[in-house]
Amino acid sequence: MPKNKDINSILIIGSGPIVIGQACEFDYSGSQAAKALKQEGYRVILVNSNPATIMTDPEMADATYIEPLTVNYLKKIIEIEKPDAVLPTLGGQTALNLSMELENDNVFDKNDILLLGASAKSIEIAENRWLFKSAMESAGIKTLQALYVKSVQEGVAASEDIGFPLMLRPSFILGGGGTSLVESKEDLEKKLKDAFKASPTQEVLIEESVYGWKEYELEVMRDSDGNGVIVCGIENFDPMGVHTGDSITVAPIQTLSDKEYQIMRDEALLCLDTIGIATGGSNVQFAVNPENGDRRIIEMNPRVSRSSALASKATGFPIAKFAALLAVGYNLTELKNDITGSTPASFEPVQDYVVVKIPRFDFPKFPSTDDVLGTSMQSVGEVMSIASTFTESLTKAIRSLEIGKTGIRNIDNRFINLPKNQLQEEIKIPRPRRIFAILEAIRRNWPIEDIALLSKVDLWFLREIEKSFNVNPESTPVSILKMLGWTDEDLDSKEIKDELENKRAYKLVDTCSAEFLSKTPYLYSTFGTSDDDSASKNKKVVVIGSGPNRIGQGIEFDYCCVHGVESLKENNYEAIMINSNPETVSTDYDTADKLYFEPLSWDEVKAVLAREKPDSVIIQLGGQTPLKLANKISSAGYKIAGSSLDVIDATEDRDLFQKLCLSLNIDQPKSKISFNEDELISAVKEITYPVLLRPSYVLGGRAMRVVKNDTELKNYLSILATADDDGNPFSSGPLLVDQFLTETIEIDVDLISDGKDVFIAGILEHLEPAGVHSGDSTAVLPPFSIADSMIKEIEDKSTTLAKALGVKGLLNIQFAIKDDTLFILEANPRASRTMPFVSKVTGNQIIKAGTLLMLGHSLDSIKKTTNYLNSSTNKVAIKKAIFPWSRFPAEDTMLGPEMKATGEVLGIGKSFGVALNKAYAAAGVEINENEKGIFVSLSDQEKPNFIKIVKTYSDLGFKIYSTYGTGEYLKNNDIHSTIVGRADETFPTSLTILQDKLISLVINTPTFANEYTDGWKIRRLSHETGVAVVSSVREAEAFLKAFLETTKSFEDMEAIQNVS
Amino acid sequence: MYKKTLLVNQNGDEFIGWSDNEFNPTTGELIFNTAMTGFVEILSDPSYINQIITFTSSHVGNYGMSQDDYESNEPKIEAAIGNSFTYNPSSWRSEKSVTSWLKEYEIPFSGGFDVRSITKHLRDRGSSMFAIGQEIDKDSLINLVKDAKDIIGDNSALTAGSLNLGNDTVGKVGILDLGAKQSIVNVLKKLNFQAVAISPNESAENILSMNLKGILISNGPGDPRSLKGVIDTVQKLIGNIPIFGICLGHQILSLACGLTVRKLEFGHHGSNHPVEIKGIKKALITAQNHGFAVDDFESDLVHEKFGKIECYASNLNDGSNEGISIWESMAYSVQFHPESGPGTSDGLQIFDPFMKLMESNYAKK
Repeated sequence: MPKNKDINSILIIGSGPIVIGQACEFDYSGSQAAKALKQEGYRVILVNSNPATIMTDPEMADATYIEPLTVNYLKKIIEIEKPDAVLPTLGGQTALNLSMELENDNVFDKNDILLLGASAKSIEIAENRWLFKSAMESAGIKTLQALYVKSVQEGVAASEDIGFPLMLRPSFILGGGGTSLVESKEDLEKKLKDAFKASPTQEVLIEESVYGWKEYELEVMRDSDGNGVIVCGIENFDPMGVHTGDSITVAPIQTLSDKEYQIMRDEALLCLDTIGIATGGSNVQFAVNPENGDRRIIEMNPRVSRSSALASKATGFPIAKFAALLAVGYNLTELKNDITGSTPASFEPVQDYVVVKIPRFDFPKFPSTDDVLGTSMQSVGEVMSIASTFTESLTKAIRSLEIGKTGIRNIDNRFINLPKNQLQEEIKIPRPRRIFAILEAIRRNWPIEDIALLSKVDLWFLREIEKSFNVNPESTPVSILKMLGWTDEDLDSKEIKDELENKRAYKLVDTCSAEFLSKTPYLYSTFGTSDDDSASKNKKVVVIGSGPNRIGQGIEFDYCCVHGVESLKENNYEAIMINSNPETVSTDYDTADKLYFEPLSWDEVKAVLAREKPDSVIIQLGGQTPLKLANKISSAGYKIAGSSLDVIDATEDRDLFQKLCLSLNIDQPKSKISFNEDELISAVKEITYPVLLRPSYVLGGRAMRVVKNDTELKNYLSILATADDDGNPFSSGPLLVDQFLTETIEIDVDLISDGKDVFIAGILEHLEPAGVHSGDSTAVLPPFSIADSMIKEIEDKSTTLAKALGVKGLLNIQFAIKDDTLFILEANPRASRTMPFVSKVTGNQIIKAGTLLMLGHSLDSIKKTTNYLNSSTNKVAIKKAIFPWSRFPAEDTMLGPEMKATGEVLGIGKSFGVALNKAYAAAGVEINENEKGIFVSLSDQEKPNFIKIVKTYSDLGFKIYSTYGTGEYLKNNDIHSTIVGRADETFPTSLTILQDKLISLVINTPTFANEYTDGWKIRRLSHETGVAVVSSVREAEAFLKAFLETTKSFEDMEAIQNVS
Repeated sequence: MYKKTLLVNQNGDEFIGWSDNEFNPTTGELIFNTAMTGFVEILSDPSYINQIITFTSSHVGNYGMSQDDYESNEPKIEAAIGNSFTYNPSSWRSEKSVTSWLKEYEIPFSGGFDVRSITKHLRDRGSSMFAIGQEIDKDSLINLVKDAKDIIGDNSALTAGSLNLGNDTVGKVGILDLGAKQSIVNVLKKLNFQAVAISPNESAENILSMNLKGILISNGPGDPRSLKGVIDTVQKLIGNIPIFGICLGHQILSLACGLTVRKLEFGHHGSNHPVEIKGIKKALITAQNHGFAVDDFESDLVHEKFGKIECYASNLNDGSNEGISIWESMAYSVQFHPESGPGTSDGLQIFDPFMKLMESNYAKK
C-alpha cells in the first residue's frame, strides 16, 4: 500500500530523559523516524523534554517542542499544532503511556487524530498482563500459568494446578521486591506466609517459574498487508531470571534448531496478529525449557524497544525508520533495504557474524544496593561487538566495556584466589561480575556441566569458551586462536602477534551475508583473509566515540560526536566514526561517512587509524574515553585535532594547572595531593575541614566525598579500600584533597576558541549549593543572581585561560563564587556534559564550530562562512538532572559530590519561574497550585537561615507543616505551622501529608546520608509521589517563583524553530 | 592438531581453512547457503548432491543432529565448509554432533574459512567446480578439478526410495522422485495423503494407472534440461492429472510446456527470500535452493495443448520467476520450497491449490 495521503502532519512523542531501561536508543529511533517522515513530505511535530538529543535538533522536524512530557503539556501542543496523526510507538514506554492517557481522556477522538502504528485497544491488550494472557491462549500460544491468591489455602490449591517450581510475587510492594522462588511443596507454606506478610493488600501472585530457562527475543516487523519479517533473533547468555536489559545477549540465536526456531517465529507473528498490531516493530520474548523445548511467551512490546535498537545495529536493518514508514501506509515489499540498496525490506536479514551485547553497570555509585541482578533492570549502558565467532565477539565486547579487561582469557584478580565454594556462589548468583567468575571456573578446568548447572547458562556457550582455554597454542594456527577469542595480550611471541595483526580484516554488516553487493560502509573487524572495502584517499577525520553509557558519560557526548561528524560532512571532510555503543545515533550507519563498530581500546583504534591514515583524529568529543588514548594516538604519529596534548596535560596535571592559574591571577581553592595516609592527614590539617576528597583522574565525581571531620575521613578511606582489590585506598593512584568552599555559587562556562579568539557560548549558574556534583545540579542559562561585574570577570578569566592554554576547539570551565571572589575549580579541554544543552538553547552550534576550530579554521572565518554562530535568544533555560532512584529503592535521594544522574530535562520559557516550573514538570514534579502547602524539617544549624523564606511562603498563604523541633523554632519566630508526627507515629505524619497531596514542597536539610532516618523516608516518598525536595534557601526561593508561574507556564510555549 | 584445508578451482582461485579431522580430497560444485539454522536438513537434502556447501553462518552444528530433521536417510552433500563447526552440541534433541555424523559417512568438512570471501567470490564470479583437500599441494588439487567430470547440472545421482512415506490416507499422491525431500512427504502426510514414490523412469501410462489423486514433481539436483525422459513423461501427464512441481519439479514442468531455463550466476540458497504470489497480498519469506531458473515469458502466453500459462510467483529480490500456473490443465509449480525444512512456514499455504485441484478433479470423476 502506498503512503497515506489523508494525513499531513504527524506528532512524534519522544521518550524524555535518559533513565535506566530507556536510554539514548530512543533518540536513535526518534531521529530515524522524524527524518524518514520529513523526507516523505509530512509536517513532523516532535516533543521531547530531553535537550541532549539529536531528535530535538531544529532541522530534524518542522516544529520541535522541548517541553515536559506530561498529558497537560501534550494537550496544549495538540491544541497549538492540530496534528492529523500521532505516532506513539517510537518514544519507548513513556510515549506509549502518554498516548494511552490521552486516549483515555478522549483527546484523539475529540481532535480527530489518527493513532498510527498501534491502536489503543491493541496497546491495552499488549500491556495488560491478563488481557495478553487470554489473547495468547485463545491463539494457542502458551503463557506462564499464574493466579492471584488471597490465602495460604488458596495458594496451596493453586500450586497443585501450576506445579513446581513456582514464583511468589506479593502485590504492591514498594520497589517491587519480595519475590521468592519455591521449588518444592515443603517450602510452600512458609514462603506463602512470608509473602502475605509482605503484601500490603494481602494478595500474592503465584506464577509458574521459568527461572533458568533459555530466553529469546524476536524482533518483528509487520506491515498493514500482514507481511512480517523477523529482523533479528536474540538469545540470552544469562537465562530467565535476569532482566534482558541486564543480560549478556547474543545474536543470531545459537542453540535452537530450525524446527524450534520456526515455531517460535510463527508464534511471534501470530502474537502480533492476535493483538492487532497493524504495523511497525515489536519485540516478542520467549522462554524455552532446556530439558524438553517446552515454550512460553513472556511478553510483547507493541513498540520499538531497546532490543529493537540493538537488533538494528546487529543486522543493519533500520527498524525505527521502517516502523515510521509502515505506520504511514507503506508495506515491506515496497521499501528498499537501505544497506544493500537493492533488496526489498521484506528480505529477512541473515548474519554471517556473531553479535554480543554486554550491559554496563554503575553499582558502586549506589552503596546501599546489593548488585544482584533480577527482573528489574539496573544497568546504565551497554556495549555491542561484532566478530566471526561467539568467543571472538565476547572478547571484543569485554574489551569494549572499558573496565580494564582485555578479553575472555584475562585473569580476574577478584576470583583468582577465591575458594571453590565461594566461586560456586559467584557463578550461581547473577551479578555484573558473574561472567568473569564463569571464565575463572573454566580457566580452573571445572567440568563444564557443573558450571552449566550452577549458572544455567547453555552448555554451548560454555563449551565454546572452554575451547579457548583448552587449545594448544603451539599447534594451533593464529587464525584459529583469534577466532577462539585470543588477543595480542594472550600471545607473547612478537612474531605471531605481527602475523595476527595482519590478519585483521574489515567486513561489512550487510543484512545478507554477502549474498548481495552492499555499499554501506558499516564495518567491523575480525579474523579473515579479505576486506570488504578499502580506505579512500579523501581528506578525512576520525572521530573517536564515547563508548558505553555510564553515569557521568552519557548521551551528551554522543550528541557531541554526532555534531562533530555532521560538521565534518558539511565542510567536505570524510567523517569516520569509531564507537562500541549500540544505543547511539553515532553508530547509525548513515550518520558518519564510514562507521567502525569496534571496541575503543588501543589495539582496535590503532588498527583503524593504520588502515585509514586520517588527516586528523578528534578526541575532544567523546568524553574521557578518547582522551585516554590521546598519548598513544599522538605517539603513533597521528595528528590530534585541535588543542595539543600539552593543553590536556596543563589542565589535568594539578601542579601544572596550579602554576598556570597562579600566573594568570585566577584563584583556586587550596589543594594538595597525597600518596599515602600520612600525607593525607597532614594535607587535611593544612587545608582544614571541610575538604573534598577524590581519587585522581575521575569521571562523574566517582568516589568523591565531602569530609567534615576525622570520623568521616576514616569512613571514606575504608570505603575506598573495599572498592580496591588489595584493600589499599591508594593502590589505584593518589588522593586529591581540596578545600571545600561552603555557601558558594557554582558556575559552568562553555566556550570555543581558535587559540586567539574566544567565543563564550554559555555561562550556567547552578541552583544547588556547593558540594552537589555539577552533573546532578540544576543549571540556569543565563545566570539569574550574579552581578554584571562578576559576569564580566567570569568572561575575562575564561578568555584569559583559553588563550593562555592555547585551546583549539572546546573548553569547559567550572568556577565557584564565594563572597564575591571567583575561584576556578577545573577546566576540561573537551566537550562537556552541558554543551548540547547550551547549543540547543542558544541556537549556536558550538560543537560544529568547535570541530572546525580543531581542524585549524579561525573563529572569524567560521562566523563568516557558516551559520553556526549567529543565533541569539533571550529565553531562560533550566536543566534539571534525572536520577535512577526508582531502580535503587534502598538509596537515599540526597545529592553529593558523586554524580548519580542518568539524564537531564530542559525547561524553557520567557521567565525564570516558567523555565523552572517546566523543568520540574519534565522531571516528574508537576506543580499543582491547589497543593499550597510546604513541609519544613531543618537541622539546628540551618534553622536561622530559613526563617525569611518560610515566612514568605507563609505570608503568601501557604500552609506550613513542620517537625516538632522546626515547628517550635518557627513558632518562636512568629510563623505558624502545623506540627506533624514522625513517620512511625500516628496520623498526620510527615509521610501522610505527602500521600494526601497536601504539600508541593519539602524543605529538608539532611544531617546523615544513607541512614534509614525519617529524612530518608520523606525524601524517598517525595520522589515517588512527585513532590519537590530542596535543601537550601536559594532552591526554596527558586521553587516559589516556579510555583507562582504555574499557569503562565502552559501559555509560554513555542516550537524551537520559531525562536532563534 | 589443525591441518590446512585447501579449496581450489581450475583457475587457481584458492581459499584456506583449518580442520582437525582427516579426510580425502574430493570435488564438487561450490555453492553457499545463508541459512542460520537447519544444518541437518540442508546436509541431507538430495538437491545438494555433488555440491560443496559453504555455510555462511558463523557456527555450524551448534544444536547437533537429530534424525527427525532428516530430509533423506543420510548426508547428501559432497563436502561442507564453514567458519566454525561445533563438536559438542547442546540440545535436548541432539543425538550426536553434526561433525561425527559427517565423519561416519566420510564426508569432508572443514572450518576456519573466511566464508565471506568465498561468498563474495561466488557472488561476483559465479559458481564453479572446486576441489577440497587437506595437506595437499595446490597443483594436485587443480589437476583434480581438471580431471573431474564436470558434474554441474549432472543428475545421474538421482535417488529414490529413501522416503518415509506414511499410510494414513485419504488418497495417494505420487511423488515423481528426482531426489525428494522428506519434508515434502511430511506435508502430504499431515494432510492425510499417502505418498507414493515414483521412479523418474516410470512411463506416463503406468503413472496414470496408479490410481493417484495427483502428482508432485519433486526437487532434486542438477540441470533440468538434461532430464529429457522426465520432461517427456511430464508432458504426457499435464492435463490428465493435477500436478504440483517444486524446485527442480518447477523447472521440469516449465520445460514440459515449452518454457526455457537458464543457469543462475550463483543461485539462490537460503531461508530468507521474499516471494510474491499472484493472488496473495502478503509476501512469503521462503526457503530457496536452486542454481537454475525459469526464464521470464510473455504474460499472454497460451500453450496450444495446455492453455494459458501464467507467472504464478516472482522473487522480490531479483524479480526472477518463482512459479508458473496452468490452471486449465490442473498444473502449477514453484521454484522455492513451500515445505520449508529448513525455513519458515510461510510457504505451506502453497499446497492449498494442489489440494483443491485434486478435490475438484476427483469430484469430476
